[in-house]
Formats: sequence, C-alpha cells, structure tokens
Amino acid sequence: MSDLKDYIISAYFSDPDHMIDLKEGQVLLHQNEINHRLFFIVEGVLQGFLPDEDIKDPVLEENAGGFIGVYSFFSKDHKSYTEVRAAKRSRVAYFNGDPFKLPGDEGVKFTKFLFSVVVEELRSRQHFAGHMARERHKSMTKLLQSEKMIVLGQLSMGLAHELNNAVGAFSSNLDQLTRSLTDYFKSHESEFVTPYFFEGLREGQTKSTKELREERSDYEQLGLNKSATRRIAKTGLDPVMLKAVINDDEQFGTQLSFLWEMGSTLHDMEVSSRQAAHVVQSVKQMGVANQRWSYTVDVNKTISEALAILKGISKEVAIETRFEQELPSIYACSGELIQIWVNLVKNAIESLNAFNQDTRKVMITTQLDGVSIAVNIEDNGPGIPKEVWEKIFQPSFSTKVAGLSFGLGLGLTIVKRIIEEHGGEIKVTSQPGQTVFSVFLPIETQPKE
Amino acid sequence: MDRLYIVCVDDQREVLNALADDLEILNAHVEVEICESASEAKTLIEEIDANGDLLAVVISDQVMPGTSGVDFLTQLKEDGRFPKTLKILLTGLATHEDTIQAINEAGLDQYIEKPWSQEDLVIKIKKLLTLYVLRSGLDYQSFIQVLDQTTLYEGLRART
Repeated sequence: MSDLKDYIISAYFSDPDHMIDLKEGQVLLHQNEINHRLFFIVEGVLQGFLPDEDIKDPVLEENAGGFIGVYSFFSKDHKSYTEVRAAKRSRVAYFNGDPFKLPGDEGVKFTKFLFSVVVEELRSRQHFAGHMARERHKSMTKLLQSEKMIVLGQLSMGLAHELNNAVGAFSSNLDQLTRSLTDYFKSHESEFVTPYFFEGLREGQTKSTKELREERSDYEQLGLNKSATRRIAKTGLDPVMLKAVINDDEQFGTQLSFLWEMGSTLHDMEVSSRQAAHVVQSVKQMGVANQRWSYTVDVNKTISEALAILKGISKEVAIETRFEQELPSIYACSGELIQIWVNLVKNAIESLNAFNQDTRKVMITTQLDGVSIAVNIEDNGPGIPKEVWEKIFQPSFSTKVAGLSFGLGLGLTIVKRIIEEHGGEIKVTSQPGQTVFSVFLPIETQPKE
Repeated sequence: MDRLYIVCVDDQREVLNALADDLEILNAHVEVEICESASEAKTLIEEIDANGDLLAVVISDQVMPGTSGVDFLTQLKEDGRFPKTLKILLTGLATHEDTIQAINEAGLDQYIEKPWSQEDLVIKIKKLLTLYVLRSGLDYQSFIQVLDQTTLYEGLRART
C-alpha cells in the first residue's frame, strides 16, 4: 500500500506548479467554495472550521501525509463543507484532473489508491468526532462541578446572612444581660461577695486544666465540698487570701465560687460571640455581595480575615504571620484577595494534615518588593513534585480525594485567575519540608474598565 | 486506692467546663478530670495508673492540635494496660474514615455528637460506668448511685 502511495504522490502530487504555500491562518478553501482539487499535505497542519455556525474549534484536522478537500473533490456539487485554514506554516500539493479518466493501468492504480484515501478520511473524521465527544464530556463535567461550587457559594452566603442576624441578636442580648447584672451587682456592692462576679467577668478562666490539677490541693484546705472546691480553684485567686475571706463559712464560699463562675461564663460567651461575628463577617467579605474594587485595600487585613475563616480547620497547624506593617494600600477587590489566601492556606493545611507529620507549620509573610507587594505562604509539608508545578494551576488537577476536604481541582485555577485580574503573578517553589507560594500584587494597578 | 476516673479531653476550655458541669452529679462517687490535650491526658492517666486508681471512661474530642482523638484512643487501646476502659468519641466534626478507624482500631464504645444534651450524656456515661464495674468485678454496691440500673440488672443476670 505504501509503495502505491509513494508512486501516486511522486506521479501526481509532486508538480512544483501545483504546490501552494500557506502562512499560519491562511485560508485554503472558503466555506461553500467550489473545489475541483484534491490536496496532499506535504508539510504542516490544516484545519476545517464552520464559520457560519460560529464554532471556534476546528471540526476536522489533517497533518502532513494526509489529504484534504476529499469531500468537495468527490461530492456532486463540489462545495467545500468547511473553511480550510493552515494551523501553521504549511505546504500542499494538489491534483485537479479527473482520476476516472486516466488511461488503463494508471486509472486502476489511482482509483485503488483513492479508495484508501476515502477510507482514511472516514477514519479521520470518526476519530475527530470521538475526540470532540470526549472533550464535550470533560467540559460538561467541569461545568457541573463549577455549578456545584456556585451553589455552595450561594448557600454559604445565605448561611452567613442568617447567622449574622442570629449572632447579632445573641451578642446584643448578651451585652444587655451583662449590663443588667453589672448594674445589679454594683447596687449590691456592700455585699462582700459581689466583687467576685467582676473578677470572673474581667478575665474569665486563666488557669489551664493542668495547673488546676496541680494547685487543687491548695484549695482543698478551704473546707468546701468537692464541686465547690473545683469551681473555686478555677478563679485562680490566692488560696491564702480566700481562706481568710471565706473563714470556714461553706455557704459563703460556695456563693463566691458561683458568682465568679457567672462572671466568667459571661466573659466566655462574649469571646465566643465576637469570634462567631468575625467569622460570619469574613465569609460575607468573601462572598458575592462584596465584590467591589477599592483603592484602599489593606493586604495584611485581607490575610487576617482569611485566617479567621480558616480557624476551624487550622487547629492542628501552627500558623505564624510576619506582616510588613508599612504596606501601601492597593487597588484591589478585597473579597477576591481573601479568596486567594483562603485557598492557598487551606491547601497548605490540607497537605500538612494528609502527611500527618508531627510539627505542622504555615508561615505567612508580607513585604514590599519593588513595585509589588509580595505575599509568601510557606509550609513544611511533603512538597510538590517538580513535574507538576505547572500543572497545579490547571483545572481538574486535584490531589484531594478523601475525607472532609473535597477537591474539585478548581482552587488554584481560580487563584491564578484572580491574581492575573489584579495584574499580579503567582509562583511556586517546593522541596520536601518547604513549599512556598509567592503572590506578587502590583501597587500601581490601573482600574479595570 | 481504687478510685474510678472519668477523663475528658478537648482542646476547647469552654467545652471541657461544660462537660465537667454536666458530669458534676457523678462527683461524689467518681473523679471527673478534664484535659486540654491528648498529651496532658496521657500524663494524667500515668498518674492514675501509678496511684493504683482505675480508668473507667475516657471521653475525647476528635479534632485537636497534636494528637487527634482517634489516634489517642488507639494508643490507649494498644497500651494494653486498660483493656476494660470504655472509650467515647465526642465530636461535631469527624469524617466517615475517622469514624471507621475509631471503631476498628481504637475499639470505640460510644460515639456522641456535639452538641450533646446533659440527660443523654449522663445516661450514656452511667451505662458505661456500669459495664466497667461489672467487667472489673468491683463491688457495685459502693457505686450504685452512679450506675445504670437496667444495665446492672442485665449484667448480673447474665453472670448467674
């Protein structure tokens, strides 16, 4: 077969007068153009497009050694079905006679060869259709995934909104309660026991459980029952002083410990409600409701907001921040910046946890680097193999398969897109024990139209 | 000394205090101890063992800095000194894998989800305490106040 092809090519597709050189993007055949030539691709790549249907991707492709124009050459109306363009610099040779009118043996040879060309054309189109179907399937899957992300995003925004109202009501009621109790105890100041309410309220419990166990025996001398002893130990107040104050009056001692605990509980509740409000605020910051660009974005602050969001999953990791305090404000979208830090820090935490090493550290530094603000996010995890450094920014690249962390493989793609929107860039370097993602954000960014 | 211990482990002090408050009603008969980390709990358990006291129940959170709850309970099981100790995982956040591992490798006896209710918690702890007393062949009369009557009755009947 290849001998026959060699013969046909040299006999019918080697005439220098029947050669066309094409530059990249140059059109060989327009759509619906009448064509009586059969083209052999000497070098390069040719692609067929459907401009009338506004489809940007090629619907057929042929490389050097293949034929193009097969359909129009043989069809009844000789119309080109697609627009054929050179994908790169190419050269084609053409035959424009009637193969069925060639004399004797030549005619047999040529038609025999044409049969293989037509079959090859069929195979090629079939192959291309298969390829397109696979691509379509892939993009459909990706679309479904991003739709899932959008739904999750909307859900969390709704959640943040609802929680914001609830947390708001909770914290203002708590303030009210604390004020009422404070007023009440102030008006009863003459009673010897009330200062212990304020003691508890001011600082809460400062002793660790270990300290409490170690010091417990000091408080056992107060002569209170077991529960009251444990409660009064939590005050951290000097046992000698307490001994003098309580003076073996068990009822007074119990009352004292209760009042201290009441104050301390209010203190804890206030701390928790502030924490909850902060998290909810940060989620709202990140959400669609706040996608405004502003000239006064403080990069350090966006990092702090991101860390607040991540507090729940960052427990097992020691996160250290070293901020350059004198950073200039930049023109940016703070919600999107938060999203960058959340993604990068979350990745670091998840890789550390997956590796299960004993000391898990993430260090975040900011500094001024010429015309940019440089943010480095460094972890001491297993590292990213060099082969995949580039790949990690592509969609559908994910290492997360199990557990609470579910990866859609879109995180770093989104991060890269956002950074590019801000005119910045992201780099990664990695070796076992030290992975650094460096984000550079330009100080002078032109407002986007 | 033969005192019975319940050891609670959680990295959040508010949670520990809430647990200790909820279990206060058992105070007269058992020692309820709270620890802020698995390593603190390990030291305490060593002391309990050295004093000849008994580790009846361990309640641990899952997500903690350092050693996780499941790992801690697994280590406790592998230690071999506390085969009768009953283990509870108390958590608001555990994956399917964590839970399977906890049951298979740590020999988990009970799984309690946060937030818990005091009533439910106390009932469950009493049941486990009863199992401990029965397994250890202790004189149940001295702990009768903190035991679950049904469990005790069934245990005693099975014995005869």
